[in-house]
Amino acid sequence: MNELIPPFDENELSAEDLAVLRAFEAMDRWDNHTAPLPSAASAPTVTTALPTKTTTTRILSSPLENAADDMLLLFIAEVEEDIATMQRALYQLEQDEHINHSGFVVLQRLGHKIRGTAGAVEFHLVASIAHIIELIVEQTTQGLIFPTIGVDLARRAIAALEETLEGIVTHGKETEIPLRELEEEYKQLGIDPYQNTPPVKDRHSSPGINTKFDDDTLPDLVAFRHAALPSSMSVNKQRFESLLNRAERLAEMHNPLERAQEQVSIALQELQAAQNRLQKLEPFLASLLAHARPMLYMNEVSTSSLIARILNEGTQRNELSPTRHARSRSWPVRAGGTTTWDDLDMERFAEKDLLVRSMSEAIADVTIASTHVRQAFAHLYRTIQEFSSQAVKVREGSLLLRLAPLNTLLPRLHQAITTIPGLQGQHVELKITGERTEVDESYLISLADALHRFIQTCTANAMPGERLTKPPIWLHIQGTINEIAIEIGFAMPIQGGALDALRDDIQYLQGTITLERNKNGGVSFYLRIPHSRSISRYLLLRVADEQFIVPFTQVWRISEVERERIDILYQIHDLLSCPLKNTSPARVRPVLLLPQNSSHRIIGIEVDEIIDEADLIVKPLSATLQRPGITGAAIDGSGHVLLQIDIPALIRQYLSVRPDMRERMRRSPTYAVPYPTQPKILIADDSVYLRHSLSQILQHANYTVVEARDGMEALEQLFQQSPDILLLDVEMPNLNGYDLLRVMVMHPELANIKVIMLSTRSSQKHIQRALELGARAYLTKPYSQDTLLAKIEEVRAQ
Amino acid sequence: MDTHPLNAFISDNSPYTRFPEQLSNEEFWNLAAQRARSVPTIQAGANESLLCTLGHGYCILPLKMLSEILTPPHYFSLFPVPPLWMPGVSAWRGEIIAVVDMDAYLFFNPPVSPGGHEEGMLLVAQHDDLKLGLFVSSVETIVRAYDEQLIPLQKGAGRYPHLRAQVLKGITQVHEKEALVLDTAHMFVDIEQNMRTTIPYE
Repeated sequence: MNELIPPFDENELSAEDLAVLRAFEAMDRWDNHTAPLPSAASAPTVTTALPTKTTTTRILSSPLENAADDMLLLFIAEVEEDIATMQRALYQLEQDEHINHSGFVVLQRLGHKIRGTAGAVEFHLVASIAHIIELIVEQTTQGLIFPTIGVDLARRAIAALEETLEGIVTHGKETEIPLRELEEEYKQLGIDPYQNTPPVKDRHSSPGINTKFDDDTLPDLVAFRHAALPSSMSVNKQRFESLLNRAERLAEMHNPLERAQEQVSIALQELQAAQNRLQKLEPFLASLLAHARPMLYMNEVSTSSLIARILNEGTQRNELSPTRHARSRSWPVRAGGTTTWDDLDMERFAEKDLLVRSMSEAIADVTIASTHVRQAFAHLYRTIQEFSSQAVKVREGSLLLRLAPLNTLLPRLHQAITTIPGLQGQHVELKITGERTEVDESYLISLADALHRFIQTCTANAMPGERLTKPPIWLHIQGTINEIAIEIGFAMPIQGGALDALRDDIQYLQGTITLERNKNGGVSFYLRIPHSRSISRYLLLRVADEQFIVPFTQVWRISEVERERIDILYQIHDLLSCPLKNTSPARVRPVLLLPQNSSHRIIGIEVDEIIDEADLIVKPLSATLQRPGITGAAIDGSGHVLLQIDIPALIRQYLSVRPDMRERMRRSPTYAVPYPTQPKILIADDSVYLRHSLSQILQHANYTVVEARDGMEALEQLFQQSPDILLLDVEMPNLNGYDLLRVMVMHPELANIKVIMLSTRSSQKHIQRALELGARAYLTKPYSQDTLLAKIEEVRAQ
Repeated sequence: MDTHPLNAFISDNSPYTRFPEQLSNEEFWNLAAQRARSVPTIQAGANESLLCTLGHGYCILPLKMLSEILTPPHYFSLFPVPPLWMPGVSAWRGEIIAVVDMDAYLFFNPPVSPGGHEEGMLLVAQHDDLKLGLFVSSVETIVRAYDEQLIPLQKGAGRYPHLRAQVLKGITQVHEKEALVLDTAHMFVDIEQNMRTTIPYE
């Protein structure tokens, strides 16, 4: 018989048949890929009742087979899978002594997914029940419904969902009965899922559910943060005493400094007074030399008591001799401007002599005062130098006081990780190298807190209790002289939203994050953070005549163009629009190599010179001075302003105004796929049905289509395929839509890809968030085919 | 006695007021030290302004908006693709402030070359939350400017081929010099808008 069957040839299949075949192949691959979800053996009481492949077999012999609606088959198979997963999550929730958050997250995510898919295929009753599941979970996790009741309500809704799907399988259409019965049951329980139900007392506790509830069952992140950030810290006693000594020495410096300032003040006054005396003598000198007019009374002039006394005596003598006094005031100027001595008027000689003496005295005063000023200033300068030196020592001592070895992070992390429900009973691999590296202790506390929250978010859909053979998570921490490098690896699919959870922490810690698929098929995140938040280490660069700083964490290493295979090389002059100065051709310009990302392309920035490295305090710029790629500024010891460069942001800005550069990047030889003439669209959605239906629509509209099943795969496809448009779902495992947008922002080479978000979430908050993260448009599911195509064209034309 | 030079330095209630000539050296230095320690305070009147020299004219700036008058640093850090009249940024009391070359800003002249700032003065001015360093060639003296003495810009601006008229109230005559009277509120808004809307790196 087998010989009579012709060999299978895919080319003979219609386009739609081929698409269905590929969709099933994709599902098989997905099943193999996402193995870590709990197996049937781990939850026998639930899985025996699950409709699995047998249901699919039944569909093939049902009336639907005649309808030949392959897309419907795909939809039903997918929803069945999702219902089975939700039932496993419910089973875990019911078995646990303490209700945990992660099981609810699974229910909410799958409810959201089914709602979107059912809406697209116009099964509105299925979509409504899925929406009810979402709402029940949301209200439960918000504390509006007790967890035990939430579990019970979710179980009823899932049963209704299963019954409705059964109706579709059997009759080819939805029936309203399950939804009505569900709403009636809820009504009897006093639950309105469409409104914010007030907290319900546990009066309806089902006897069949063996759960306990107390205030501590749901993870309280706020409480954890407070617990993790104590108001006091332990310090090294020796360092503390050393700091005290330095502070005391600094305090003792106050008096010498004040005295030195006073001496300068006095010396300046002395100089001022001496100058005044000298100036006052000037007119008398001029008068005497010119004989233009009689001299004024000297007693009105001199501010020196000695001179005043002498002149006073002279005046008294003059008053006793009115004739001589009068004559002395009326001497004419001789012809030619010269004068001769009147031998009979000796007092004039005495006055002249007195003036000369006064002049000499005043000049000597000025000279002495000047010397005093110089000495006082020199003394003040030395004292200030000493004071500054002591102040620097105190500052260094204060910083030392806050340092703790990196290995103090381990017990904190261990304690935090054991509180994560999804990881209970699991071995989490914690490795640390460079454990003696000293880091700001408050920084370590913040880091432990951030890592805890990050891992908790990533494992929110993990089923607790199931012992895995391999560690599902590993943390490799490496302390180096400049930074802390951390790899957080997952061997399991992770919940979307991880980057969103870590965003504020990364910003606070002034770090960077990259990610890529690891050898176990999961995702590894790589964090690089500086040792301290207040002072960070920077590379000091010269660009033309200017100096800029770049955080160490943004540079992988320093090299030269000749020595490296650099895929994309930028000139810092171009990025900053600085004119290129003529430099000696013999001079080799260094290249900053950026940390490698998922694209595995080596990106370099050529700069004029690397001057030094320095620990600096960087302050944010005022709103008026903020620019893309210029994130802050530091002031060096000479009072110069050093602008801080954010390299990825600078490249992104550069590419946004240089379309020619974008094209060069697209055609970079590292891209495996040549640039197609047809516009290429990447569909990133975890729903097989939606991917497939979208793919058909787009192919009919002459687009080249590629698909991704989760956020991480989408990221890989972005680098490999370089699509024109990305149709991006929000709710996806590994990286959700928002996460992916955040990652794209970190990669300037992806700046030219236009993103259209597709989601059932219709609130303005979600739309705004997506647009802020760089999406060009937002379509709410369900949408018509025409709307989608029109939106794609609109975005392409932008 | 009232005309004695020392009287200018001696307060009315000083015991030395009437007989400064009779001061001993010690008394003299005590008096001088006392005077040196007292910090002169200048109350900026409502109409008091500072007459400043620019490369191509004069302007007056209200005293009340000035925080400090400094000798500029020998170097302003350049900012990427700034407005033409912005030679860079400078540090002032731990803050980073934008520096505005007033001659380039008001007269649309080429800005002073990077090395040419040592000759001028930097006036740190504040309006609302915005602090700026206004670079001028020199400062002359404090003058009083009254709105009723203003010459409308249309009458007096003929000799300035290019003028940023929207930030000027008019022209006034002070010390036989024709000075531009700035509308500082508008000027700060205009500078801020220009700095924000300058598309960088293009």
